[in-house]
Amino acid sequence: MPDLASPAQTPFESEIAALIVRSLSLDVAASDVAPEAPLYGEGLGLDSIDILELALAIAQTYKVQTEAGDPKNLEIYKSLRALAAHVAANRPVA
Amino acid sequence: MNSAIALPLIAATAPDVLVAFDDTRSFDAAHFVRSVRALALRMPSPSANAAVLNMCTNRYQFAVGFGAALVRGLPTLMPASHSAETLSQLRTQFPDVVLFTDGAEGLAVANDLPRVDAISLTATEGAQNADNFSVPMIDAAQLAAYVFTSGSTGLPTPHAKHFGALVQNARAEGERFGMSDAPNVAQVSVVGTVPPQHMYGFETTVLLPLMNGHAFYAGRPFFPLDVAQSLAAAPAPRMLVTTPVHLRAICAHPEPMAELAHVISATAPLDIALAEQAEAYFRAPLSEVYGCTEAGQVATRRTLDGDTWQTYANVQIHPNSDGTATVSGGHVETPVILSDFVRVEDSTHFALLGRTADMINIAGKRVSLAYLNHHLLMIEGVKDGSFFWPDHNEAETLQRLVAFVVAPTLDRAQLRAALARIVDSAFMPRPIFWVDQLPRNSTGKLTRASLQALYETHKNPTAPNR
Repeated sequence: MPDLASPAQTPFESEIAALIVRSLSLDVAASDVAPEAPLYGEGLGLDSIDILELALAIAQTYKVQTEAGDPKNLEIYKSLRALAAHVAANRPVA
Repeated sequence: MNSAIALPLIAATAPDVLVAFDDTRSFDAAHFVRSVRALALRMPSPSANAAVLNMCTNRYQFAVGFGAALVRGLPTLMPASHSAETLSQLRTQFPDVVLFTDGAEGLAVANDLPRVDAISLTATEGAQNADNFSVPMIDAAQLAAYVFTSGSTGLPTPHAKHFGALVQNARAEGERFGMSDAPNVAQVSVVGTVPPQHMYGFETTVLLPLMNGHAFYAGRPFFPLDVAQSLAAAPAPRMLVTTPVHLRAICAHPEPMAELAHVISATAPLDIALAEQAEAYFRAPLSEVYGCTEAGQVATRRTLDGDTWQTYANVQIHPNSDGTATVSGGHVETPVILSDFVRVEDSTHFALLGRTADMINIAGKRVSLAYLNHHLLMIEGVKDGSFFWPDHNEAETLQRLVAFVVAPTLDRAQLRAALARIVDSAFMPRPIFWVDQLPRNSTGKLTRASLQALYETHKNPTAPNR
């Protein structure tokens, strides 16, 4: 469900979107993941098990660990944009 | 069950026995009993229609709420899902239900329910000095909880759990894991990644410690780093109560975690490779627990010891002619037919041979395909449709359901929104395939083989078809 009002994905957001769709076998095309739409619940419709799977994929691909509390309230899983920004800021350099 | 028997609300017999803890605080038996008695005064009057929907995220708050409901004479409701549809059906069955919550959980779907707020964990409610510490006694025959399964025709089916049976269940589990003789055995710290509202989490992270004199971690660590921190805050010996999905994520964690005495897994079969990996990672034995909502947990096995499950004390298993089996005795209040095919070795040992076709279990949530199909066909615009559980051989990823629909006027977003109102997110089909017709045979039935063939022709290419 492309949201034409949303700004387009950056190249790194496209890469993360592809990882999300691939690791969770989602029913959407990676290019259709709106950068600002919520990942959890409404929007992409992910549940807490998805967030755990996604955290594992992020850890294995980018060596970035997720921590702290309730996956539903987690700022970094709020949207593709927030997640991509978090991974970009926390991935080890080379 | 003899109604003259009363049992203590918790096993602890001294006020300073640790009941629960988090990273910075500890709550002893005196705190627990005081909190339960104070909260019970705020619970509504018992009646046939009254019950407590306990949606606390904090495990200690959940336990206090469960205890207060018992002291007040109210059952706790444990629905299989917290979807809007489920909660509205619950209110039809229990018109005087109250919501007990410690945060935002439940407010979005049940904000018009009368609400009882959780206790303040920092304040000391209702002073009671340690000298007159006394644990409330609860009638063994008292209705303690209703757990729910999804009936095949739409309405959730309640199953009554009486206090005596829950205690017996928890004691049997304690005996199995060498925890039944506290304070003569070291107090175990139970850390769980599963919610207390799920039957497995309720039994193993709340009742097991409470009814055997052990302690539990009040939080619910979710990500591997959270699990590491929770275990570090827990006094040894430690027990981790988790699921295959969490174990896979935890074992991929690059740092070692605190040493464990025992790892417990349930909700889905664990493959041998992951069991080996988990035992090596934690340097501790890993046991799986097997059960179902109706019977509660009934058996365990150490995964690496082989396929044979051993039932809990006094629980017996008997084969049925259709390949399933029935469990009875012990804490199992009425005989229950298991939803797996079973090879019964003797009355206390068995092996699992696979699920019966209609029951689906995803991440510990169980539903019947008949129930899902019933609701799918009720959606306006769906002319025909069926959920399907494809053959799956990748142990790597969590399997999800798919669905086929004949719904020419609906688009993907509309159908997903309609489904989201009625099915738990765990059962949301991925993907939904739009088809012109379903391969129904001359009697109108869909066979597994025909749906598998339809799935094979649709699963590639991956581009969504609507």
